[in-house]
Amino acid sequence: MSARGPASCRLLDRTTIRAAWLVALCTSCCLLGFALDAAGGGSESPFFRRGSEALSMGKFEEAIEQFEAFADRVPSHPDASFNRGMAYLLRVRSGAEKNGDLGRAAAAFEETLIMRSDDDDARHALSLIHAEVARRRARSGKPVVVSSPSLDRLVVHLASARSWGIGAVVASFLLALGLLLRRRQEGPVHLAGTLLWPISAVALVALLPLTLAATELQRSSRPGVLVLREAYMMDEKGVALGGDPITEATRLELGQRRGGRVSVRYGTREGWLDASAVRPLRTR
Amino acid sequence: MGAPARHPSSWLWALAAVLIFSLALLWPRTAWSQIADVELDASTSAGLVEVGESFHITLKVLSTRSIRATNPQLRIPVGMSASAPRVAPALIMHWGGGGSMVKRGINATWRVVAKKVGMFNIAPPTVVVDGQITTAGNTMRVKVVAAGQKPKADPLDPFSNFPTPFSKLFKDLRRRRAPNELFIDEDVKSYDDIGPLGRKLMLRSAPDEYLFLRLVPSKKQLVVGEQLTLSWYVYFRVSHKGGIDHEPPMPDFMRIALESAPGVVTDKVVTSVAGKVWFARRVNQTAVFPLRAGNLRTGVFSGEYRVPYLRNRTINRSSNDVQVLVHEPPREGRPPGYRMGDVGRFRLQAKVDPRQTEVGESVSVQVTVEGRGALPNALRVPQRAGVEWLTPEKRDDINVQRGKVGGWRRFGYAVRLVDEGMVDLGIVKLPYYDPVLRRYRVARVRLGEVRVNKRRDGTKAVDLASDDGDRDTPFKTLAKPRTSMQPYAPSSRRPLAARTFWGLVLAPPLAILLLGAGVQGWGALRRRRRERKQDPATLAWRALAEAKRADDPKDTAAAAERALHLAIEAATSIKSRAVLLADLPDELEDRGVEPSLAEQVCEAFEACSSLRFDPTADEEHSSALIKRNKRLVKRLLRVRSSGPEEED
Repeated sequence: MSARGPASCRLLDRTTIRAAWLVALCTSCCLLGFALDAAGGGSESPFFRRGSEALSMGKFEEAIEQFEAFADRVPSHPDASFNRGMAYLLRVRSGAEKNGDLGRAAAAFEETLIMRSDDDDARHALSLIHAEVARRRARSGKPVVVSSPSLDRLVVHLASARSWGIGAVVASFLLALGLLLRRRQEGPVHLAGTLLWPISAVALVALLPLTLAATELQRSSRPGVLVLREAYMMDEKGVALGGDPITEATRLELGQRRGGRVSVRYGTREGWLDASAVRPLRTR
Repeated sequence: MGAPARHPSSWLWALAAVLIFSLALLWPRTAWSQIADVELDASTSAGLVEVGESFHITLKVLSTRSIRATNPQLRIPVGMSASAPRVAPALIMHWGGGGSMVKRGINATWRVVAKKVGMFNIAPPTVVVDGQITTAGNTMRVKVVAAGQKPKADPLDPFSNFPTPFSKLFKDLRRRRAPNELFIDEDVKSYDDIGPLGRKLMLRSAPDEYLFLRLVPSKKQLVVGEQLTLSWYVYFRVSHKGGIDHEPPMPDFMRIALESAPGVVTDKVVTSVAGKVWFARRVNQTAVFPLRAGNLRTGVFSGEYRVPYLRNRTINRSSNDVQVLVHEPPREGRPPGYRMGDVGRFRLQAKVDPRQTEVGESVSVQVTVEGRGALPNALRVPQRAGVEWLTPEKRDDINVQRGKVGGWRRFGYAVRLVDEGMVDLGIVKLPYYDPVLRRYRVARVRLGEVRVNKRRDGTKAVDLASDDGDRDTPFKTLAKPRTSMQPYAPSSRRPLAARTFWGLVLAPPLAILLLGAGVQGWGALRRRRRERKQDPATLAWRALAEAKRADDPKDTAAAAERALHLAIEAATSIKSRAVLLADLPDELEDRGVEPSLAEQVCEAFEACSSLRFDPTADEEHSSALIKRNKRLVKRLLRVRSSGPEEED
């Protein structure tokens, strides 16, 4: 008995420890599951469900309320944004259109595309909205305003700040490799290094400013969509700047906000608009 | 002949003149008495009342003759209500002058209740006297203050609440007791004499010596759409005349006046500013509702005042600029459809009429929002397919009760129905934020169902969607709404952190450059070490060391001699072994070595040869030789470091 006593105690201890580990593991898994569920927007699904039901029954007003409430929450979801755009379009189709419905629908589809860039339905709906805005302006005898982005924005927006940054890092590594290979006195390795280092140095010089510009743009601005039929830019004091109007559903670059106004950039033009005239887009 | 007889015609003319004169004297008196015979007098029972308190307006119509006074009427300003007049016959008798005078007429009395605070001018009542509309000439002024704000009776005058013959006496008495109000410069002796309002208005410092303006907010922090009451005060301790000439701009607020007659609104209250007696008078009060979040400023109001104490100089004063922190109502618990600014406490009522109609016809839906707070300007109606809500007509009655803005607003919709059958109009909801309970609530009213019958004339229903033939065209190819949420993970891709990015960009080339520099440095070091190993000077020292270590004097001499040769080579590059000892001094001198040193070097060589071939040489000789050679090596190497000496 006395010989088996300590052995059984050790066994018990080991079993207890294993059980404790198992319990701790299960608890951690449960907690992780809850956390993932919360992070994955599980609490938002009632809004989506109620909104979708209202949408299917033609109660677009209620659907808009539900999807707007969804949009207030973080994080959003591309399908919820898509249905929000559909709710606004349904209101337009039903004849109960309100000012800015097309713009709000466009904002919803733009959000969908930001979150899921391969959503062809959203892209198609967005093109229909732009076509409808152009058609309405043409019917009312107003010119269709088209503004192309400036060259710097065009280049910077070719890729994300992260992509430009990764490119710069790769160029830096290639530059280092070229310098390393060039240390060989002669032979194909030396030749490769001699060719590689100046090319990668030029790439690095080009990619660094692009990375910095894209990062700064991402930090200081965010996308938005005009939700008025049209709006004219003004200066910070509210004096009209003149020029063509910005038409509904146009995507803008929003800057800082002061009081009731927000700075915007449209094409190569910069100015201020009433904050209520634009809807900032959620990017996450 | 006697006195000449008067001509009868002249007598008649005199009589006529007297008559005419008498008539001329009497006729206007009669005419005046015809007009002034009717006495009209209108009076109020009180000049200062509280909201909700009733008072009476009395019209007296009296005449010494018999008159017929009918239809007394009183026009009441907005903010008051009056009952129908109570008309009673009146009879007044005057005795005196040895006779009596009786006046008869009517007394018409209205009971008036004040609903708003402010100063009201009440137009005199009218009455029809013998078929002619007559007006009592005096306009009455009644000041209405908030409930509980009416000053108490003057302790000096027990009859202060109603006019008495003694009022003037008490007024004079009061004036004698009061300090000279031209300029009061007194310390506050007892704070017990200051009332509750005066205590609230006390300040630690005075922005001005005589008079200043102050804007007092009811709170410093609030949410968008919540009521903020701004009280405009004039603080003074000099008598003055004048008023506000500029109101605060308040661009970020919607404002509603709480005073119908800004200016002299309330009586002055005694307060304390910097320990001195001051008076404060509220000259206006405004309810404002912030339109956005942030640190909002109201701006200042200013006034112009003439001060007798300052020799009637006119002074301009501006108030403080009130800053309040406005934030949005909490995001947590915010109901769907909440509109920013809907703050207060509301309830909804609805009326739908008729409940039965035909396809394509409209029904009337009236939704009334009632409550306290800024009433919403629009409602979200339950729009759905087949139900068209037209733009509503709005009516409202906004009033102020106990300083809180409220009332009702009615939205009258015409709702067109195009689907046959029982149509449920749905529920109108008004989500709002209750600032008292600090939580959201939703006022709702169910509109119920409407039976929509077929049209009797047999025409088809007007399809709203087909009103505009091409309305649907642009969106025909739209995809269907999503019924479920597909898996989606928010992108965690963010721009590289600045430190990481610069580290990754700069590290590789810098590492390569540092590596190259390191390799080069290492090579140079090795080369230098190698060169140093083969340097004659180094070898000379090494030879000296060998000489020290050698046991045999021959070996010592050989090593010491080698050290000298190496030192000569290091100093002059002369391979001295190949030079005859006799020629060596000249060679050394040619290379800049001092002649004495050259001589000593030669002697040292000879000493080395002697020691090598001296069988009696011992350790002492050896060490002496080493010392000598060491000294010479040092001197020779010094020659190397200083360079060749210039020839004279």
